[in-house]
Amino acid sequence: MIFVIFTALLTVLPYLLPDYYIIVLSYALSFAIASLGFNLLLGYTGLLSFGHASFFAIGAYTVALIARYMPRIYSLEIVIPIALGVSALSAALIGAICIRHTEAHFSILMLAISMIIYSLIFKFYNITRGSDGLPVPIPKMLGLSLSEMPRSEYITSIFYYILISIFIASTFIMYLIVSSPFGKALQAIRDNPGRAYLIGINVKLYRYYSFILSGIYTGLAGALWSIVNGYTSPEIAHWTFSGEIAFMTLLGGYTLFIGPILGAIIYTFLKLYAVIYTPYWLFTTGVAITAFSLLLPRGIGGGIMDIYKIMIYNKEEKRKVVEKYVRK
Amino acid sequence: MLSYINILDGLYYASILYLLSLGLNLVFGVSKLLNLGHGSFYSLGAYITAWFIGIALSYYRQSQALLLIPYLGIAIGAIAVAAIGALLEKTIIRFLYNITLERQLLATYGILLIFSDIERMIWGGNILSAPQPVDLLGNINVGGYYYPTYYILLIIISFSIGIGMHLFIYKTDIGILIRATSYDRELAPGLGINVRRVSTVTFLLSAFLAGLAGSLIVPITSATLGMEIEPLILAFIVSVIGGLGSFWGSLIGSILIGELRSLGIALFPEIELAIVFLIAAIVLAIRPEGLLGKRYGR
Repeated sequence: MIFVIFTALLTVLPYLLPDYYIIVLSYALSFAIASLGFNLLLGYTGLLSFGHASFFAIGAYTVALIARYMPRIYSLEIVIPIALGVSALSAALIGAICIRHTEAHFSILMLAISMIIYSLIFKFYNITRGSDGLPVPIPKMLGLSLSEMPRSEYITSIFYYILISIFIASTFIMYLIVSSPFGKALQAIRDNPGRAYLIGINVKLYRYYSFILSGIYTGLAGALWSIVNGYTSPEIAHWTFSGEIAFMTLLGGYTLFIGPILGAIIYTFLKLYAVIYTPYWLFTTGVAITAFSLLLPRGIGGGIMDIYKIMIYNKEEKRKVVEKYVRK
Repeated sequence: MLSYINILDGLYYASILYLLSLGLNLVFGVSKLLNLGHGSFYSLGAYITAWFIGIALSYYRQSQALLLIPYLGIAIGAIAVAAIGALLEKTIIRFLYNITLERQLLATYGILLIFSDIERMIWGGNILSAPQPVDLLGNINVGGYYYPTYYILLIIISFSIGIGMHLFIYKTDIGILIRATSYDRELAPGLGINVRRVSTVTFLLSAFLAGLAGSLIVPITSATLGMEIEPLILAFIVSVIGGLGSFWGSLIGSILIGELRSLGIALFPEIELAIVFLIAAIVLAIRPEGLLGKRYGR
């Protein structure tokens, strides 16, 4: 039900809001796909990756490099599947190393690997043009050249609908994944790996699958983002961007399915206004991250859910909800 | 063309990483806290020292104290950072000990961001440099090459402080309390140990070490915004490949990473960082718990 309302809302939004907000929303939706993928790993499998920016960058650079070196096949319906394939492949490779670890070791190893990718993008100037970044022109679509169209018009009209259809499809698929037996197995692994192992779940393999799926989502998000942004730079592979993805997820609430989506949208608009009103954007974010992880661990979405629960529950259950915040 | 100089350069970088990762390991060992905010102590140390040296030298340009000021600056930087660390522990960090790792990492990541903007508020976006100590000490002849004496001094100071820290942990009474808390945080209060105070002391020590690293490096590299990111990540790598919570591990890990980085710069300047991370990934793939780490649960 919520899903249908949300879809309808997204579809009519271009008629209601100025173009400017639609462009910001396009950024937000591509981040939302990334944090959905991220949350499959954090919220459902219990692995915090501090290197998801690398998949994002792999997706974005796949698009940009195809645009630069193979302009003949630079068409949306070809580029997106290639980006998916490349990010799946790289997730399979990176996962083969990283998934052997859990907890802090996993986070740090992901961080290291994302920094390898960052420095490779940064240093191979001849291919990736280093810190100058690569332009991402408007791709062809079904043989139709759209390159004469101004970018802002393209993003707010044709591409916006492509973006929301991909977004809704990927949200739906993610919902199917987390409510399938596979998703339940992942949650069992998150809660207690030892017990999950004993009831016959192949813990390492399932973590690996979850990692690959998460990488694919983030890569897809990167590819879409690069088209919205029109430009890629190594900054998106830096670990601070991984931190941003993690923060979006935390802001919305990683215990909820829609938490990451909510978080990405709130974060993007928050950042927009914070950058306008204060030069100290990092300070604001830092205070918010620290406060959120200390006081409101279930994020904004989780907080709203809890207030709702407190309103409808009886006394005993109320106490349980409140205790989650008071304990520690 | 490799020479002694590359090895010395590696050692000099290793000594900075050693101080940083020792602090990380100390806090992780005692409080099971992975502190991403550790990097901000490093940059704070650098900023405070450069700032102090700059101000002091503008007052005492002609005086005899000229030689002393830089060293005073380094000490003041490290001590000020230790004080900031203790304050931070008392106000924010102590609420982080019992929460899950994800939230710890995110909360301390927030602290890192806060401090990087505080630095921007106070000192602006300019580069703050204080090259006087390096200039004053001149060069020394090492096997036919001239090498800045300050670098040698830096290596000696930081390794001796590190070894001093080992002795402190293994030989003194406070060290015994720290070790007891790190073995079993829940049982320690039962023996009459004030765990909260031990945590504060270890955090203060770790901030001191990071601040010292920053103070020592500032005559060489200058204080800039974002200077903490690369050493912080490398220090994490050092701690993880040495084994989290292991002191000898951080010594071996820092020398390994420092030398690798220096060789990488000499031989493959294009992909120097990538080589370091690649080796780290290989070490971890073979030995997940790190070179000297204890096996951890699945």
